[in-house]
Amino acid sequence: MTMHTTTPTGVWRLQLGSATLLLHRRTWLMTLLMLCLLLLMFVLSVSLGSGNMGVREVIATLTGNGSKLQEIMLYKIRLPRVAGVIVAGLAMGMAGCLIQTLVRNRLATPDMVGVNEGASLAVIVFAIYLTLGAWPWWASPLGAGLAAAALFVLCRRPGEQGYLFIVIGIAISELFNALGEFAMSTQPLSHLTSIYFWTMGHFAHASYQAINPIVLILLLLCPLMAMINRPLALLRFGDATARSLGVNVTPVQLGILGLAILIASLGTAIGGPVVFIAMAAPILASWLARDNLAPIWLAALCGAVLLLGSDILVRVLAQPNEIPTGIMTRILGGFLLLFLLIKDRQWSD
Amino acid sequence: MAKSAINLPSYQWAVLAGGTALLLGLLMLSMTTGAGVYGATEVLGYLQGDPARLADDKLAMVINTLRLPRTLAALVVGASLAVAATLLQSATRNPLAEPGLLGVNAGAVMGLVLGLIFFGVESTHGYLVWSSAGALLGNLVVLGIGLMLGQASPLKLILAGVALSAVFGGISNYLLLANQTALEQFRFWNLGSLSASELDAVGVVTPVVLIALALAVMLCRQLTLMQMGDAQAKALGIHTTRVRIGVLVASTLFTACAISIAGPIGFIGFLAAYCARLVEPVALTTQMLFSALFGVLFLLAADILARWAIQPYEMPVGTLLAVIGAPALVAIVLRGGFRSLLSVK
Repeated sequence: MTMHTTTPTGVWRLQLGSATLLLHRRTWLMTLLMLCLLLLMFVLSVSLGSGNMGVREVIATLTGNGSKLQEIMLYKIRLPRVAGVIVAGLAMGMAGCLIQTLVRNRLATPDMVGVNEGASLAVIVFAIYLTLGAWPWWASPLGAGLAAAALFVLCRRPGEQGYLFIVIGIAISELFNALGEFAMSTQPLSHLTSIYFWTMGHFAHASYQAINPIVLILLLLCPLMAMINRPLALLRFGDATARSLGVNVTPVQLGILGLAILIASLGTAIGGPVVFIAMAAPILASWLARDNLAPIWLAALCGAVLLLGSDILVRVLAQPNEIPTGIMTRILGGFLLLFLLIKDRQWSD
Repeated sequence: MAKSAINLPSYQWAVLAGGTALLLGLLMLSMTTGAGVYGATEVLGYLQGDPARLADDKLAMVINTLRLPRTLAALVVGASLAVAATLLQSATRNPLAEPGLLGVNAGAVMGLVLGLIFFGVESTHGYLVWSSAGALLGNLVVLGIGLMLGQASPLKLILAGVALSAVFGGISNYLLLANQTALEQFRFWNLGSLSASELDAVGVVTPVVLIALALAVMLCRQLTLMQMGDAQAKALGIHTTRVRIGVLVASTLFTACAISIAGPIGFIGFLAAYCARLVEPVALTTQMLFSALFGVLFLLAADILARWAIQPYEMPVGTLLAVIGAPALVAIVLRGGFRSLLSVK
C-alpha cells in the first residue's frame, strides 16, 4: 500500500523483478494511438493509386494470396513510395524534436533554417555533375553540415537570439535554394524532370536503393538517441541547471546538434526538402502528450503521420495528376506558422 | 518637390551623377550583349538610324524582340520594386520590408496563376489585373497580421512573410504542376526572369507604373512626417489612414506591374531601399529617387550577369539576385542595421 502512494498520478508502474519502470500513461496511450493511426494510413495509402487494387486486394497480397501482377504492383511501385514517406516523416520528426529542444525555439527546425536546403543542394550538385546514374542520397549530410556550419558561425548563441537566428537561417535557406536552382538552370529542363520534382518534396520515385541504407543508419543511431533522451530533457532547464545536474553540456549539445543534422539530411535524401514537418511534428507531439517536451519517439511518429497524411491528401486531391507532397506540406505548414506567429504575443524579438 | 531636388548636398549630387553615368554604361552593355553576334557598332548604328543597319532584318529582330524589351523591362521592374520597398519600409517603419520578403510577390504570382488557369487570361492587361488582385490580397494579409501582432518586430514580420510565401507559393505550384502546358510556359518566369519580356507588355505596364509613381511622390511629404510617429503626424494634420491606404495602392500596383513582366524577383527592393537609406536617411522624395536609381542599376547589372554567367544557358535573374541578396540580408541583420529606422522616432 505504501508503494502505491509514492506513484505519481497519471503514471503506470511496471515491476520487473527488482527494477521498477514508471510509464507516463498519457504519453504511452498517445504513442499507441499514433501507431494505430499510422497503420491505418499505411493500408489506406498502399490502396491508393492507378490500377484496380483496393484495400481488400492489398490485404490479400500482403498476406501472400495475391496474383503475380498484384505483388509486383504492391512491392515494386506502391510500397517504396509509402515506405519512403514514413521513413522521411520519422526522420524529420526526430530531427525537429532534437533541434527545437536544443535551441529552445519552436521555429528553429532544420527545414526553416536551411539544413534541408543544404542537403538538397548537395544531392542536386552530385546528381547533375558527378554521379553516374545512381541517386546520390549519401551526399545530403555534406550539404546539411555545410549549411549548419554557416548558420552557427554566423549566429554563435542560437538559444538566446530568438527570431534573429531564424531569419538568418531563412536567408541561408534562400541562398542554398537559389544555388540549387542555379545548378539546375545549367542543364536542359528535359534532363531534370525527376530532380525538379524531388526539389519540391516528391516521393513517387523513392526507391529501396536509398531507403534501405537510410533505414539501416537510423536504426544504428537509435541507441544513441535513447542515450540522449535524458540529458536532452535536462537541457531545457537551461545550461547552468543542466550542468549542475551532471550533464556535460558542451559535448552533449554538439552531439545532439550533429545527430539532428544527420537525421534531417537523411530524411531529406529520400523525397527532397519537405518543409514544415520537422516544425509541426514536435508541436503536435507535445500537444498530444500535454507536455512541453514530448519524447522523441512520439515526435517521430507524429512526423510520419503528418507526412503520410499530406501524401494521401495530395494524391486524393490531385488525381490524376502527380503533385509533389512537399507542396501540400507547404500550404498546410504556412498556415500553421501564421497561427503560431499570431499566437505568440510575448516574444517580440 | 523641385526645391528639395535643388537642395541636395554635394555628396548626393556625386552619387546621382555617378549612378547616372553607370546607368548609361549598363544600358549600353545590356543592348550590346546576349544571344546573337551583334556587338556595339551594329547596335549603335541601328539605334542611330544607319540605313545599312536598318536594312538588316536579323539585327532588327535581335534588338526589337530580345535586347530592347528586356533592357526596358529591367528599367521598369527595377524601379517599381525599389520604390515599392521604400514605400513599404517607411510606412511600416520596418527596414526589412519589401514585396518579396513580405510574401506580396508570392500573392501576385498566385493571382496571376489563378487567372491563367481558371479564366484563361492571356493578355498583359489580364495578367496585370489578376496579379494586382493577388498583390492586394498579399498586402492586406500582411497588413492584417501586422495589426494583429501589435508592435511587430521587423524579424517577426519577415517570418509572417515566409509563412505567406509558403501558402501562396504552394497554391501556385500546385496549380501549375496540375497543368503541364502552363508549367512549361511559366517555370522560368516563376523564378523571376526578364528573358521573355515583350515590348508590348512593357508598353502596357509603363503607364500604370507612372501613375503609381505619381501617387508615391504625392505621399512622400506625409510619410516623411509620419516617421516621427502617428501621434505627432496626426497633430500636424496628416490623415495617417489615408496615407497608408495610398501606400497600399501604390505598392500593390508596383508589385503587380513587376510580376506581370518578370515574375517574382526578391531582394532587389530590399537592397535598393537599404542603399538609398544610406545615401538619404530622412527626406523620402530624395530617398525614393535614389532607391529607383539603385533598383534599376542592380537589376540591369544582374540581368547582364545572368546572360553571361553560364552561357549557352541563361540563369533566371531572380535566382542570381537571391544568391547576392541572401548574404546581404544576413550581413544587415547581423550588423543590427535594421534597428536604425526604428530609432528615428
